[in-house]
Amino acid sequence: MRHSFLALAAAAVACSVVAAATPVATHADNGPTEVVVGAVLPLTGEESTVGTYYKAAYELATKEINDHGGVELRTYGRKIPVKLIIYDDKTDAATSRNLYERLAVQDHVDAMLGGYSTDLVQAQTVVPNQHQIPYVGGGGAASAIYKRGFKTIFSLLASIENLAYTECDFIEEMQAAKKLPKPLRMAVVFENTPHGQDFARGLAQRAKAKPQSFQIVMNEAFDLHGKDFTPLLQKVKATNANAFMADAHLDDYITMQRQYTQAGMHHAYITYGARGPDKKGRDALGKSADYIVAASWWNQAIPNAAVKAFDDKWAKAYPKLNTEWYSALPYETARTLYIALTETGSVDKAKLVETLRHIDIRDTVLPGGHIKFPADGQIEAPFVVTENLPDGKTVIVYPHAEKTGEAVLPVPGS
Amino acid sequence: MARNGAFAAIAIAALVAVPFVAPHAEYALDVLFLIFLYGAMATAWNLVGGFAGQVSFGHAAFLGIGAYATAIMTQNGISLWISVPVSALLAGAYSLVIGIPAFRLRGPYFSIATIGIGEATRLIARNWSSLTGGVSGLTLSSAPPLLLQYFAALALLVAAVGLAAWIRASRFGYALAAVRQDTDAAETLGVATTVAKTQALFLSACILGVAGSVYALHYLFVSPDSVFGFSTSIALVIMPIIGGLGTVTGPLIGAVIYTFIREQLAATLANVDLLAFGVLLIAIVVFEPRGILGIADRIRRMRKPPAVTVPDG
Amino acid sequence: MSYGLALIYGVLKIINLANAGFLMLGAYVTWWLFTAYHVDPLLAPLVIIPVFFLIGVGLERTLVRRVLGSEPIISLLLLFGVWLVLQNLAYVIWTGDTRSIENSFIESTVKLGGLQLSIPRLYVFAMGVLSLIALQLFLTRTYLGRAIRATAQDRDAARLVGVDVDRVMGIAFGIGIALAGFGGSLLSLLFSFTPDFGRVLSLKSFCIVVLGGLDSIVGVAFGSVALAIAEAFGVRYMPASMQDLISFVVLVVVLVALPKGIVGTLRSLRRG
Repeated sequence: MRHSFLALAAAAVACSVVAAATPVATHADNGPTEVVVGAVLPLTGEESTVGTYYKAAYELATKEINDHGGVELRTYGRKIPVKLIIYDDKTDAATSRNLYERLAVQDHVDAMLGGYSTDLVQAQTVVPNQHQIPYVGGGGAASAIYKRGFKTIFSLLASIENLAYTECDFIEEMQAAKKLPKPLRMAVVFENTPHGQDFARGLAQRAKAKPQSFQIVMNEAFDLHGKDFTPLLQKVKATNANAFMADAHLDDYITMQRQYTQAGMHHAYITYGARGPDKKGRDALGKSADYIVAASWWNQAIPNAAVKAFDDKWAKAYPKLNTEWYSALPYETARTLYIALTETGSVDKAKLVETLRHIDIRDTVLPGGHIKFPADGQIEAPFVVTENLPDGKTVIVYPHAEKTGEAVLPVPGS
Repeated sequence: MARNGAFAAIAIAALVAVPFVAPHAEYALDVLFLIFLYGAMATAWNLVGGFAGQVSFGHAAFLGIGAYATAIMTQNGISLWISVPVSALLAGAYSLVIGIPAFRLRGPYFSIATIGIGEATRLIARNWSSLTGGVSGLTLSSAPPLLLQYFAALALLVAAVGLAAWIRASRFGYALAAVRQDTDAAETLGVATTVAKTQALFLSACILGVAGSVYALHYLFVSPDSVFGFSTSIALVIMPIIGGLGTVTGPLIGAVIYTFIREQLAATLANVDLLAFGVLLIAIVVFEPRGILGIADRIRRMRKPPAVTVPDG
Repeated sequence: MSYGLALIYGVLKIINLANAGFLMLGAYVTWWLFTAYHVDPLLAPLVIIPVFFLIGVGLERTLVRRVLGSEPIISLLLLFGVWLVLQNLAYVIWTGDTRSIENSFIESTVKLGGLQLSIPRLYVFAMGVLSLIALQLFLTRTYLGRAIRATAQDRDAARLVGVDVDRVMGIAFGIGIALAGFGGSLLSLLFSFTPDFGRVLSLKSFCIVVLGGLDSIVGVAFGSVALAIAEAFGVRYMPASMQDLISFVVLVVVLVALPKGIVGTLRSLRRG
């Protein structure tokens, strides 16, 4: 014991000396040599599909700005290149939080770009809040994330509660056109996270406000990243609902829909929140993905010139990747940060936060055409509703400005 | 023993000085903080796993209770001075609830039961959403200043190691060692084995409860998978084994190694750190179950001719 | 897979935590053979069973044997270390992305008397029953099988009657590991998986083994049925996500209240 105590004492003294010798970070007076921006994304693990798209999008936006010499910061009178650091959190919330801390404390980032998805964003945002670093994200949609009074967090992803309302608006339109029964008896299942809770809450509010249109006959939460949803689906089957309203992330959506089909289930209306039109899901599910309705933050088929231009740009840069909402959203997120930096004119964090608070970007591919953040930091942009049609086709069915085709409802064969 | 005390005092003084001589080295303070915290946690586990020989794979349960209790109380505006001790006591209470039935089991059965208990606790936390926030966990808005955290963790470590040293030399410590060697024999000799085990578990749980509070206030994020997770329980087992099971300073040595490896490999290849620990664990179990301290002891004995060697540790 | 555990425990008196690792590995090897070499997942066990058997024997000879003499906790820790290595090796090689096997067989269903049954599930169930029968036959009818049982009952006595105890222990371990791999391969047909796959299932199988009483194969079968019933029952009254919780609670309760398992307790009641 004596020797080990001696060893520890020596180690402790050594620590002291080493720590004292660490140089203090200094800033050159005419500005930094580069603007350091950091993000932590799920590049492996359950959300890796979307995570890799986010990385590609962030890199594309960064490359574009660096190709022009960097961000123009008038305080220093020149353009400064951006250094983008991306870590992999393996779809684990605690890891995500820790890596954001690393970005703050070790890499000394000037600003942060957000991660994906709700769970990870909720955990990771404690870091930019604590260190008061501006954080612009496009990957956390649950409204609860933004109700904590964190002042430096901004999101381009509109809330899931609004997603639910949009779908309900669409359903009412379908009911008026006699394509869906009125009232619609909904079996609601949702992931046991703020994301899912937003969805359930939205539907519940609407059902309370318009009971002649919507009735909720089942309302149950399930665990994220589950392996077996058959007991849950059996319960759904027993309710004899005519609509199956689920809120899940991509991997759970694939598992659940596969098991739904295996169980021989049918409903007049099926939705998985924002999941459905993306190619990965359609490839994995084949025919089981047909007729699924989804409300999304963006779709490549939106009929306007800016969207088409982005679609082309993405296809050219990444011929192997599709153009999904998770290409456009992170791209716009990074762009927003760079625009805000230019407007601020320096890397002063407090000033950057102020700029973001008042920013109003009009040239964007997002539906609604505006990037503007209300007091809690989460954008209030509209959604587009899509339906999957056979043979891999997708149509935008709502709202009218973005419509590209008619909805096929009720789901044939139900 | 006095020499030990002197060395310990030097170590503590040096560590206390760090924030004053290097106030800008935020990263170094962070790392030291982690070492203190893990060291305290490992030492706490060692009271039950090393001293009493009851290897538990579910100890994260106590850490988690402490973390959640403090997180919930802080969210409701309760001051630290109240929430931390309450968290410790809650963890201790939980240890009594599960300890009394669990200690009816021996050896490997006990260990397996602890896996079940740890997992069950995690699942309860996951599902009791109204209290714990479910899968997504809880976040806190602000942390106490780093300096305060640093000293709190250091104080906890010193308390834990001090307690371990005191127990080791006390009658209680002998009772635990007897339980470890052969529970039945100890019973016949009049040692109240279950009482001893339960006391050790209670102390262990309380320390972990405080550690949980410190954890929650530092990370500002608790979730069932992060605090109640199996990987956390694994860490609590690995550290003392690497350093030296059943010794006073072993767990701390293990904690130092653990922290360094994790920090170095954190941002790089997926899970290489845990892989390394697995290999290390196998190597230690097969070749030198007494861990690093055991290896150090062996080296020392090879140098000195064995006169009267009292096993050190 | 529980049979494998029971076997290893019975013969070696070791609790094999690494089973989870081999289960997971079985699933991954099946997936890998399917995606890289287009091997039909139903045929994968033909490769997996012998290879895993050899790995098991090798593992026993090199590592497990060394710790047989020490406290049981040491072997527990050793196999735990093996599991850690396997799991994290899988993370490094295959990353934590969810994997699954998708082909027409997986999707197929059949209608039987009004119920839509999934064919893969029926297949796995049938395989489970077949392997149970095969194992029972092996243990009772073959020389090797009886040698294993003898070693499980009393190692020294077995030695005295001429059983090569060392070889038997290696073989028993090998069989246990092979069964784990086989189980993993079957499960890959039903579920998607990540390297963390084996953990909950492994704990459930401990539960089963303990329920049934660690020393009997029949007990294990009984235990699986009991646990399945308990889970199905529980799901009606509590959210589906609590499913796993039931097994753990049962595990702890049974360990504490009925240390000999249900079968063992019944036996001793009958005796005295």
